[in-house]
Formats: sequence, structure tokens, C-alpha cells
Amino acid sequence: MTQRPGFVLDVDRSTPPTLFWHGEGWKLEKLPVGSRVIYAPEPKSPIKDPSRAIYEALENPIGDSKPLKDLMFSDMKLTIAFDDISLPLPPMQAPDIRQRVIETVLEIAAEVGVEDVVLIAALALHRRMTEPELRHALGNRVFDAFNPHGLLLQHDAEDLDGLEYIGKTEKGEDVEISKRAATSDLIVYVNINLVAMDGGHKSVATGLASYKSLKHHHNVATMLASKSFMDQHKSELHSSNWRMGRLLKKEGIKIFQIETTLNNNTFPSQFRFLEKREWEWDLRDRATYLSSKKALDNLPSNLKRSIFNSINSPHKMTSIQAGEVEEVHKITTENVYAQQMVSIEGQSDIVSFGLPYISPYNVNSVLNPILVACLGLGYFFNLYRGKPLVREGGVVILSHPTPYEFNPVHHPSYIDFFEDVLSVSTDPLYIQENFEESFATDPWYRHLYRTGNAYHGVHPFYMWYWCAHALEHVGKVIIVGGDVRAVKRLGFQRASTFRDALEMAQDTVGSNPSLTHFHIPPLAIADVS
Amino acid sequence: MKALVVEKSLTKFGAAKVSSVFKDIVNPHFALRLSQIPEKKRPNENWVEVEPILSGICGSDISMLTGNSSRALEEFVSFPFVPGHEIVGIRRDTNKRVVIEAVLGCRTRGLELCNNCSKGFIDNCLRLNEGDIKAGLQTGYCNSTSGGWSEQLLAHESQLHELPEDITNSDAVLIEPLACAIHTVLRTPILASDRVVVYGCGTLGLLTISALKSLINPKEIIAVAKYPLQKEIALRFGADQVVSPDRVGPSVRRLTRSTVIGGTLSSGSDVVFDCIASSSSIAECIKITRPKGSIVLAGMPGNVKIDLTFLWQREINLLGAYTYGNESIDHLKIGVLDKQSNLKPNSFDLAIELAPKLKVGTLLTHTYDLAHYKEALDIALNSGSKGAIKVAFKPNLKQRLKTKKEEIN
Repeated sequence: MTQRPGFVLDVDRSTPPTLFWHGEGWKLEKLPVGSRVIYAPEPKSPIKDPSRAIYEALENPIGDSKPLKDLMFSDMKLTIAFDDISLPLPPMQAPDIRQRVIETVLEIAAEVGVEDVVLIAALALHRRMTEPELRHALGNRVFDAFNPHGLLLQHDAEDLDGLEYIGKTEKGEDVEISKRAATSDLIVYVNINLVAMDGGHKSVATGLASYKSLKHHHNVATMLASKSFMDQHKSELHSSNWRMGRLLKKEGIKIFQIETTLNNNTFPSQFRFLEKREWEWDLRDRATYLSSKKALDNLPSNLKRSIFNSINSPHKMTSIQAGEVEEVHKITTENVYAQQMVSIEGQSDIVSFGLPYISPYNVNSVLNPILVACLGLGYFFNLYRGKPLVREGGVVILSHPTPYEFNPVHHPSYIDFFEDVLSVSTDPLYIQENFEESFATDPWYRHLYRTGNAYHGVHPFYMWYWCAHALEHVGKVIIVGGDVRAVKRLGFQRASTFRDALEMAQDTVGSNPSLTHFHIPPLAIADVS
Repeated sequence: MKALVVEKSLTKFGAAKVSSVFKDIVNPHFALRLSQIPEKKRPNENWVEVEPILSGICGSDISMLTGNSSRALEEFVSFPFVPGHEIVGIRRDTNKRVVIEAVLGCRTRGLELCNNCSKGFIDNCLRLNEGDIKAGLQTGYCNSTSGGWSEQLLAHESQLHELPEDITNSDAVLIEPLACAIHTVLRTPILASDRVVVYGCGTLGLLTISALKSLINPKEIIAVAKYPLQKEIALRFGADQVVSPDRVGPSVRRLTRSTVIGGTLSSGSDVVFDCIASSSSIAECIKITRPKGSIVLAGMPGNVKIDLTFLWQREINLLGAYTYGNESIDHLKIGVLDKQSNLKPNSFDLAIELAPKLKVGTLLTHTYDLAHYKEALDIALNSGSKGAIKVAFKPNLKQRLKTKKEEIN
């Protein structure tokens, strides 16, 4: 069966209510006649034999690269880096792609007789993964073979002895990455490219870098010059990473890039209504919606959270390409676009997003208010190519409970950022200039990042910077159903209902505004002409 | 004359204590009654009759009236008494405006000066229940003198400070608490490079911030305040940062770049002024003070229950700060004071000098007649949540009319 492409629905009187994600739950909203609803393309058919596809990709590299086997020699130093817990979303059903790919890479290394092999989770400034999370990503066989011998590492961007300064790019950007990786004869990087932003030179230049290096592209100016992150050619974030990646290559650091793409099959079959268009819901879908909504509405939030955190996605691999970084990434990006791109004509006055329970930075955790802002304004707003879905000066409506709640183990500096920084200013540039360094160099956050499961002290700043483009572009942000105090602290407005939000938006965009609802996840990219 | 009188009644104090638990709905007035009492007669020619214009309600008054203060000081109080020790009034003999230095040391009692009073440390007088007058720590706790919550009281010549004309009554009624704040600030050496926390932003906390800023100007003043008005004034008075009580630990941790060990910080604030002095505030202050740092109890503590393990293990100095008097020269040699050699090394004199400059009168948010004492006490008891800072009585109709007439002229 062929996949149906993305679809833009024009709402009329007969259109049924539209599903909105609302944190750990969902609701149906009746949209005004004339609104548009963007639906993601249906899942592409997966590769039937992933193991074979992986092997063939490693044997037949893309670009200026030898097959993986030919890049290996017995007394070499091999480092295999892999994407961390932030990908994919939700975590995929076992076996994870990383496990499949790494097992194949290790089989080839074993054939060649390579003995010095180290695995590194490319955390950048993300939290360290727990043992169950590592086991899930790598499989028990790999984990048990490497971890007990200290050969399974998690990148430590604060380990001064474990970093190697490579040099400066032509724009003066410091490049500093993991010493183990930099001094290896070969780095094999295993990617899961969930969105177009992932992969390319960003894999090593960001995933294995230090704060000193990362701050050159994780800053407000770069975010404002990236329109959008999903369009590599208009993304300064990518340009900077590409300069860094090219410097790595110039300095003789060999990278064998492996990139994989996934289909849009995001939720298990019991939640299939989440991926269907509402007018196509059958009796079972309606019943599932009603019963799940009723149950979720009556459950305490921690129980709901644990239910949602237990969801593993049935994502399946749709492509794998390996070899030289830039050539590989070109094909990967085309494959991501093929799964996710939806063409849209023109912008609207208002764009709305129903925000789910999960983002890259709260897997097995709480979507705290800063992450709510980042998911809505950093990620969903930027899921475009061409122009944003909403016109300049328009309104973004987000639907999420936005609880005034943080996970103190994962997000300790987020709490202080929320209380002590956002209470002073919500201006990303002011925040960057006045607060970033003290958080980034705070010894307690550094300790928790290095030894616990905490995001780096500077991480909440980056989340807020992700929002900078949207904050500059739009005239108002409204969160439907958000916690009053939390929404106020974010500097946004709060509405009790979607209808109220539309009324409030009219102060900014006038009466009879045009509305586009982006019906994600499953993920899509709006190609706005 | 009209006066608000406190009688020694365990039942009434008990009732007040119980009622204070429900402070949002019951006034702490059980121990107090509005009475007609005879005017006080001067014990000798060194005493002067004073008609209060304004008399503030202090945190210690509220603590006493709600039965929450310790009974340890009962030996230094003579019942029945008229409260009120923050007083600006008119002395009847000269018709001049005065503020009263409320402490009743040896000089006021007609005694040979004790070891402390002879050095000007009247706050530490050793003879508070001897001499010409009955027992009493201060005016406002002594049966012989009456207090500011009445139409007339007695003050010893040595207690009186004539006011320059340019000091408003609002500034003047805050002089006594400002003197306490200055004394508090000077209780321990503070360096210009120090980080200082002022815990609690009622009147005393805010005045402590103001005194700190003007006299010492340390590197950073972190104010701990609960309510919006307190936060606003704390910033205006010189705090560099204002945090809520639940955020003081994280804020101090971040500012001092500390790590956390077992709920305490590896470093912490150099000096902490506890302007609440409850069990919980003292416990919190211990957590945020650096090893070998100092905590000054500016608020009036009662019976408190605290785990002092970290006070001991971190070798933190815990100091009391009571009223005012001559200050240690060592402390006066630091900061701004060093450059202001014309200022006297006495906290009350400093307060008179600084009150108008610091605009402390802006803290006076509510005034009441004696007849409306229940309402006044209710506001004072719940000052933060009711948008009040300093609440004062204006006991004398005659003086009020006179002041009004002067204002019109």
C-alpha cells in the first residue's frame, strides 16, 4: 500500500472536531470554518530487511569514502559514537536502530581484528543516560560487552582532560571535542535522523563537543539567523556546524557517518486514532478516544506520566546511508523530507499546536514550562521551510497544561533559570548577556551533569534561545489550559479554552483572523510558499 | 488620658496566643484595653512630659501581644504598662519636637552608671529593674513611664533628642527602628567584598538593608521577602536581589558558586541578618551562611527549636542585636563610615542623621487613632499580606491639629 502524502484540510461546517494533543492527554476542538489543518504524510513503508540494508550501506558508502571494512585495521583505535536519549521520540520499540547498526559495525571490526573499540553516547550537554536507557539503545549484548570494562562512555563536555582542542574555524569558532574521538583512527557516528535538523556535521561537532565550542552556535544570534533549523541552507546553526566539521576533516579526523531515517509510525496500534484524520475515525477509534480521554482526565498526573513514558514507538527504518558526512546527509535530508514534507500556500494570522507530553529533553521526565516553550516555539514553530506558518506579528496558540513542575534530578538548573532568570527578563539576548556564563560555569551544575543525570547548567538557556526566532517573529503567544503562574513567568498569555484564545488573539491580529492548526505529532514539515 | 494598657493576665495572653494562630480572622487585642488612666507624674526634675504625635507598632509589640514572645523578659517589665517605644512627640515644657531613645538604662534610673552604660552600651545595661522607676527594658514596657500608645508619657532628659525642623514626623517615628537596624548592621564586621543576606523584609529588615547600603555598601545584598510591596521597597532601599523565602537557598548557592552537601552549602553568605528570628528562619540562615560566617539575630527570638549541628560544625557565629547605643570603633572604621568622621559612633545619633536622607518615613503606610487599635493591630499583625509596612498610632488629637495647622501655614 502506498503512503498518502500530507494533507491540508480546509475546515467547513461538516468538518468534525480536530484532535489536539494536550500534554499527557488530548482533546477535540471545533475549529472555525475556513481554518486549515495540516496533517502529516502517512508512514512510509519500512525497509523489509534492516540488517541487510545496514550491512549494504556500510559496504557501499556514499561520497568520498571507502567501505567501512576498508577503513579498519587491526591495531587501530576505533570510536563509535551514537545519538543519545533525545532520539527518537518516543523511544522506539526494541530493537533500537542504534543497536542494529552498532552490532553490525562491531561485527565488521571483529572480522578485521580491531581490539581498541570504545562506544560514546554523544550527549553534548544533555543528561547522562541511565543503564536501562543505554541497554534499550544498544541492546544487552553490546552493553554487557562494553560497559563492565569501562569501554562504554558518556561524553563529558566538562572533562578538561578528556577534551582535545582542534583549532578555530575561519570565523574564529573554537572547535573542541572528545579526546578519545579526536585521537581515534576512525570515528563511526550512528545517527537517528528524526527531523531534518539532525545529523550531518552537527553529529560530531555538537554531540562530542565542549561548552567552549558549542557556545559559538548555541546562542541567540545564531538562532535568529536560522530560518529554519529544518532547512540546512538557511540555518546558521548548520553553517557553523559545517565549518566546524570541515575543520575536523582538515585536521585529519576521520569520520564515517551513518544516518538512518524513520517512518511516521509514531504510536502503538492501540492509539492509532492519533495518526488518523478525524473524519476517518471508525467506531473503534472513537471509542478508544473517549475511553482513553475519560481515563486520563481522572488519573493523577504522575500516573499519567508513567503511562506515557512507557510508550515505545513502532517507528521503522526507512533508509540508511553511510560514508562521507556531507554527501550522506544530503540523501538523509531528502529522505526525511520525503516522509515529513507538506506543501502549504501562504501564512496565516494564527498558528496552533497541540503539544504532547514529550520533547527531546524530557524523556522519562516532566515537560516543564521551559520545555513547553521550547517544544512549541523552538521545535514546532521551526518545522517549516520557506516561511513560518504564521505571519510576522501573528499569534501562536499552544495547548498544554504547562505544569509548574520540574524534575530536580534531570533539570536542576532549569528550576533556578525559571525562578531567578525568567523572573527578571524573558528577553533571550538580555538573558544571554547577563546570566549565561554564571550558569554555564556553576560548579554544582557541573558536578550534577558529570556525575548524575542532570542536563548541563547552561541547557535551559539554550532552550530559551531556541524560542528566540519565534519570539522575534510573533506578536503574541497564548497557552490554552496552562498553569497561570507558569505561563505568566514565561511571558505568555493564558487562555482557559481554545475559543478564548482565539478571542484574545484578535487583539493582535484583528477580527476574522486566518488560522492554521498543525496536527502534529506524527511529525511533519510545512513547506510554506 | 486615653491609653492602651497591657495587664498581666495569663488568661488574656493565652487567649491572644490561641487567637494569633488564626491571625487572619482574630485581632491580637485580647491582652490590651483602651482605658482612661491618670497621667504619669514625674519622679524628679530630670523627667519630662511628652505628648506622642506618632507611635509605631513594633514587631516585638505584636509578639508580646500575641503571647508569642518568651516570658524570660518578664522580670524586666512592670505591669500594667502602656506599650509603644517608637515615639515622636512634643515635650510639654519646651513645646519642641523630640524622638525618644527608649532604652531605660542607669542614667534614666538615677543610678551610678553600670559598666556597660558608662561605655555608652545602654543596650546592655545591667540594672534594668532598679532605681527611680519600676522595672522596664524600655519605655513602652515600664509602668512608671507609660508608653507611646497613650496621650502622655514620661521621658528622661537623657532619652530625648530634639529634632531638626526638616525631619518629618514620618521619618522621625522610624528613627528608633532605624537605630536598631544600624546597630544590627554594626554588630559584626562586614567587608566591602562580602555577600550579605537580609532574611525578612518587615520594617526592621528593610531598614537593615538601607543601613547596610548607606554605611557599608557590601558587594551584594540579597533580601528575602514574601510580599510584593516588601520586594519593591527592598530594591529601592538598596538590595541587589530580592528572593522569596523558598528561593533563598538556591540563590545564595548560585551566587556563592557553592555545591550542596546534605542540604547545606559548601560555602554561603558571609553575613546573614535574620530579621524574623523564628525556628525556621534561624535554621534556614544556618544553611546559607558560610563556614565561619556570621548570623545576626535582629528580630526578637522566643523559644525556638533548631538543629545546631551545622552551626557547630561550620563554626558559624550567632549574634544577638538588641536596640542601639555606642558602637564598636573597629566596626566604624569600615566602609562609608570611615569617610564620614563627623558622624558620632552612636547608632541612635546616626539614625537621626540618616533618617531623612534615607527617606525611611516612606515605610509608614498606615496610621490609626487609639480608638481604632483593633484594626491597627490587625493590619500590623498581617502587614505583609495587607500591603502594610509600618503601622503607627497617632494618639494625640491636640498634637495632630497643631501639626495640621502648621502644615497649612
